[in-house]
Amino acid sequence: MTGQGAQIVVDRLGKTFHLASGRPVNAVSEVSFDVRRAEFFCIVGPSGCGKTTVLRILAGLETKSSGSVEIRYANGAKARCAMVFQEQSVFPWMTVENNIAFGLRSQPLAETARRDIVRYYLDRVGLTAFADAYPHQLSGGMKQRVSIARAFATDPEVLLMDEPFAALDEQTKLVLQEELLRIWDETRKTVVYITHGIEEAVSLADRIAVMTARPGRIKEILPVELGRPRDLAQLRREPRFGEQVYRIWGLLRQA
Amino acid sequence: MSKAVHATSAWSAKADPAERRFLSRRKTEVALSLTSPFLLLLLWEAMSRTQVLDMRFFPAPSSIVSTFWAFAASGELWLHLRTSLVRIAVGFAMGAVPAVLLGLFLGLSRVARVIVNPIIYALYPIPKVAILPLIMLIFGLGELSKYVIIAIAVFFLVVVNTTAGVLLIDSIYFDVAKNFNTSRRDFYLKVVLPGALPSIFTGLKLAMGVALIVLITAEFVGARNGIGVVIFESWQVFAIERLFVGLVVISFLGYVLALLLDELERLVVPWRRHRA
Repeated sequence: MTGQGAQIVVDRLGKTFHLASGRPVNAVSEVSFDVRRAEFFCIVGPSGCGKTTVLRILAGLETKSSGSVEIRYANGAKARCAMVFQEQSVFPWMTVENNIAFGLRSQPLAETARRDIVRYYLDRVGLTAFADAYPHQLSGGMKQRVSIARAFATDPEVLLMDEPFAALDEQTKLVLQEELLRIWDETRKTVVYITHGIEEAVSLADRIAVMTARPGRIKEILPVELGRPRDLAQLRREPRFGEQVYRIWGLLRQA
Repeated sequence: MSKAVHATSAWSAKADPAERRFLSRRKTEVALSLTSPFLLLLLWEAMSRTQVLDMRFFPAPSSIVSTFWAFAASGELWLHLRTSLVRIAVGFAMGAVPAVLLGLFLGLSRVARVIVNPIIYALYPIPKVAILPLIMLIFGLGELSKYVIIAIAVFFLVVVNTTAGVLLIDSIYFDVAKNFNTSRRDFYLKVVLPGALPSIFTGLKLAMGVALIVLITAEFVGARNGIGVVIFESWQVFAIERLFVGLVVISFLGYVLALLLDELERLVVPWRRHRA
């Protein structure tokens, strides 16, 4: 399953919104980056810098105003892009099982194959015992696990993640980051991961794009010089981790 | 059942004092809410017999009960009740089904809302009783005019609540559907309809209350059978006990229909946290 991710090329992407008064606002301007196959790519920046807009354009949920976005699919996978959203995006009216199966409904699969995939990912995110539960019976961390399982279950080439753990407490966040890395390690999708947490970006990414606000631009793209697999708790003690975090802090402060 | 009760009592015996206090308070509450209507009836009975209440307007509950039994035993009551039930059921369905469909459509289409909403808002405030003569002119004095007037009353409440229900669905769920290339069918049946269901049920419950009002009114004006007829004819011949039987039956009917809708909601909307 290795290397089936797509390659993404974003060139001078721009997005202009119009306020109710008709005044145009430049949300994103001249954003260029490329994401390699099977790469874990983070975009980090303060709120309002347009990073979510970039991701939504990649997902096809928003139109671009200028520039180009190209996703070169390897055609190995069944789905193209799957998105893991910021907070409450699991359907309250579906059981955990049906939530995970939701993305599979649009794929031509036999019922047994679908069940097998759902069961596999239920197990991967540790929610087998909660298959028949409704989201209101779950904690915030469990809901995000459902959301991640739903995205992975469709076997996409690109995984787009919009601050998926922002609303969670620190311990839960760490556990879920490790789970995410473990599942990603097995599947090697191309990941674009949005966050405002610098430590989170350094923990997860192969490379990090630092964005600044008004208008949203990419200030710099840095590689993360940390090996894999990573022990996220251990990682925090390493001086190299601190240096990376400090460098990104510096870049954001200059903005 | 007996096993469950046994398990509960064994458990409550071991429960801490606070837990036990809560359980016993709950028992007291249930007992109080069951006995209060009976106490009122007893008071009423006593006041009628001692002639504190005017028996011509407020006959003793015991005499209402005996009238009820005679009325029910002759099969006459059942005939009226059945007629009213069919009218409610057919009229409710005729109004609610198209209302849910139109409401879903209006909730999803801004253009449709701009075109249709002014018409709905202009027609909605007209008291349904006011158009009853027109409905009887068009549809005659038979059953159809009853169905239609109930359907109209139900339609407006359900369409407005369904539209609101769709508009209240968090846009993130539409993003998820789009992101996973959801088919049109799944989009309607797995996202929009369930998302709007809690509001739809609010509309259905409000509509049930209004349907009963319209039913009785329509039966006052032009019908041979029905609970409304029982009440109206009793007034004309001053059969006061029978009039009260009609009132009791309609109140009981409203109560049962509300319970049925609650039960249906529990079945169809299992994800909604229910409060007692």
